Amino acid sequence: MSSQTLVDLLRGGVVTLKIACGAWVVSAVLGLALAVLQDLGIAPVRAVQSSLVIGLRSVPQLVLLYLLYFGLGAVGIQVNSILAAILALGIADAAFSAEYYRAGFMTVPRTQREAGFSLGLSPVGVMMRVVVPQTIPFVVPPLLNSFVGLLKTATLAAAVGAPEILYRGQNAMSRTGQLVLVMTVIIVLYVAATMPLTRAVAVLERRVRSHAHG
Amino acid sequence: MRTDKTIGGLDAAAGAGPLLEARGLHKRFGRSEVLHGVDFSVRRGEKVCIVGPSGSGKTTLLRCLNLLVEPTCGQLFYKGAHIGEWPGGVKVNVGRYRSRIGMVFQHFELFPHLTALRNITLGPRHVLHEEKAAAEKRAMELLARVGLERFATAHPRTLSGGQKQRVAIARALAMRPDLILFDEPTSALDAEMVDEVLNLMRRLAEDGMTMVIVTHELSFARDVADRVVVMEHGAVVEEGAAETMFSAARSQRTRDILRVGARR
Amino acid sequence: MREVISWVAILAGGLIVTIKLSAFTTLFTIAFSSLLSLCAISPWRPLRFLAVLYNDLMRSIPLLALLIFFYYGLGRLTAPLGISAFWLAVAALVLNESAYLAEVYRGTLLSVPATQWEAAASLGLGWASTVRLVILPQVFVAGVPSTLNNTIGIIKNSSLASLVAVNEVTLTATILVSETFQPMQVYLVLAVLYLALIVPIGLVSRRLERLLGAGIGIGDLHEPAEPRLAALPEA
Repeated sequence: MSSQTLVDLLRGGVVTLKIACGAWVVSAVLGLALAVLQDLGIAPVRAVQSSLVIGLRSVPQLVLLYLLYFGLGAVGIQVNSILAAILALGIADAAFSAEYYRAGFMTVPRTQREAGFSLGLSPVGVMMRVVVPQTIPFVVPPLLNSFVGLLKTATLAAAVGAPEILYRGQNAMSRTGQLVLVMTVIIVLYVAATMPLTRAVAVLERRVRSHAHG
Repeated sequence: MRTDKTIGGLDAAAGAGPLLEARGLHKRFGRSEVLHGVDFSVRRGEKVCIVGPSGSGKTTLLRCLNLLVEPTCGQLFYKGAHIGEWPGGVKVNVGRYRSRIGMVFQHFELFPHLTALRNITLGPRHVLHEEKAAAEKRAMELLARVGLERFATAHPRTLSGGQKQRVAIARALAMRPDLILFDEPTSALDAEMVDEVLNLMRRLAEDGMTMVIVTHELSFARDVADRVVVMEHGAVVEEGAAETMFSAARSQRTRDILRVGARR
Repeated sequence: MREVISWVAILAGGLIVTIKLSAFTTLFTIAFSSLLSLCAISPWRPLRFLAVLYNDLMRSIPLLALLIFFYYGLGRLTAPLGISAFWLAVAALVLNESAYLAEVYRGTLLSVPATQWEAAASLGLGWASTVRLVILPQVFVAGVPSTLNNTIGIIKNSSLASLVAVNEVTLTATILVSETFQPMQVYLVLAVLYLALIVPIGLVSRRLERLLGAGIGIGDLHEPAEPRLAALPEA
């Protein structure tokens, strides 16, 4: 493989990373918002929220991506392919992040909330100042796991022409015909990026759990 | 496939020697050694109680005897034949060896997806390859023997602890074992259920079953055991005939252990 | 409205392919991941190592990369054999999804206490008989919700097959867009079709999860309910 191709793939990798990071931020923030809204338990909000979560979990990311990229484009809102991917993958992932937060909220004893209320904090104040901060150790491992997932699903951006790693890989394949080689490089890059991360998250998870129980 | 239900040539009469014998057993889990060179044997028809404080290695010794735990060091003989030597390994078909030795667990370990009857017939049908009808007939007899014939179709979760343990004993008996190992069979039971299990074990003893029992029930040990083995810190402190052990043990430590337990 | 109905009629053809693709994938994935998870808990170290390596490797590869590799790489070799893009997609999906489901199954198998394995061993049962007679029957029902959830994932991921020339519903929709120039509307209809396919499965899965969580034991689903015999007086 020419060094030109390798550099090209690595550039694609940077774009992939960018998409994954962007989507991760969207997912973490939107997921928190969804979880807090549900927790506050205002009935109509909760109904909207839960149908939104079901919807996001049931529609393929690729279809969301097409809606944001082609759909919005057709009604006059032009979004570039990278931004569309960040939004689509992030929004889809938020449905799952919300679930991690919710599970995290349940680890905080009810009396903690009562203590917050007794100080005169509002429901939102109790959430943001008492509950959420205590939840963070529990949500960090699953959120990191979802980052690993996003690194992989970021390849979907190729479908709307974002110059991420798989898109460039496909171009390199048709240019050079070195299909197996290009694919091997992509796989090696992925394994090198995700395996240590996955391992680290597993270690972190164990530590959080033993900390919580210890 | 061999159809005989014995281990190698081990179906020969035991003769005068012990039925099961362990020599110099050591067991190491990681850094800690839980057995330091234990010798143990049981003769046919003998009832041996192993007593000692928790963490003394009693349960590990019992598990080594049927190879649920493989010793780090030592030798195991069954009817005079070599079962295994460590370091090294097992010299016989482990499944076949275990099928000759029953085991009753502290927490019963009935199979939750099976009825009482099916728990009992599982081994005979799938290890001894008995006919279904024959296995079920015998299982019903065993259920009657443990006083639970009306519970044949009951699932374990609907049974009380004492009933579970009686089914577990019937399950062990169904294999027609040469001996049965009991691992603290009454420790997990509520007080009012202990006696129904101990009484059943007394009856088994009277019927001549060879039994090795890890227990904290010292009055039971005094009544039933031919021999008592006292263990502490992974070694045998003292052993001897039950009556001598309870009345005239040599070591002070043995007297302490047997007295403390007896008061409970 | 009439337009939408005509679209749905067109998309229905693709939807059938999506269903077929997902059904075959699910079937093979269940089989392969069962095998993988059993290898991963087997007493034979090399087998265990291989299974864990496979799961770790597969889970670090993007599904789309695998699909593309199968289509462009293997496709050249398999086309003369009459193996279509459809089956290549099934193969890639199965190999990828199995790594995830196998991990779930492994966790389920490990949820059976070690003492149950010991009880079976003490009767003289070997590893295979213990798995078949004692372990699998205990976890069989518990594995159903996670299997259904995996199927939902498979249906969603099957949309990626549209990028490797499988004429399933997403590809059908994309072709429809190129004819109608109404991406927003067509893709919304597509989204609704996916919802219609997936939401019922999700509901069943969640209902089952709750039933199992509420302590509906395995016995209840295996055999007709027993009277609570413990309540009867002792014989």
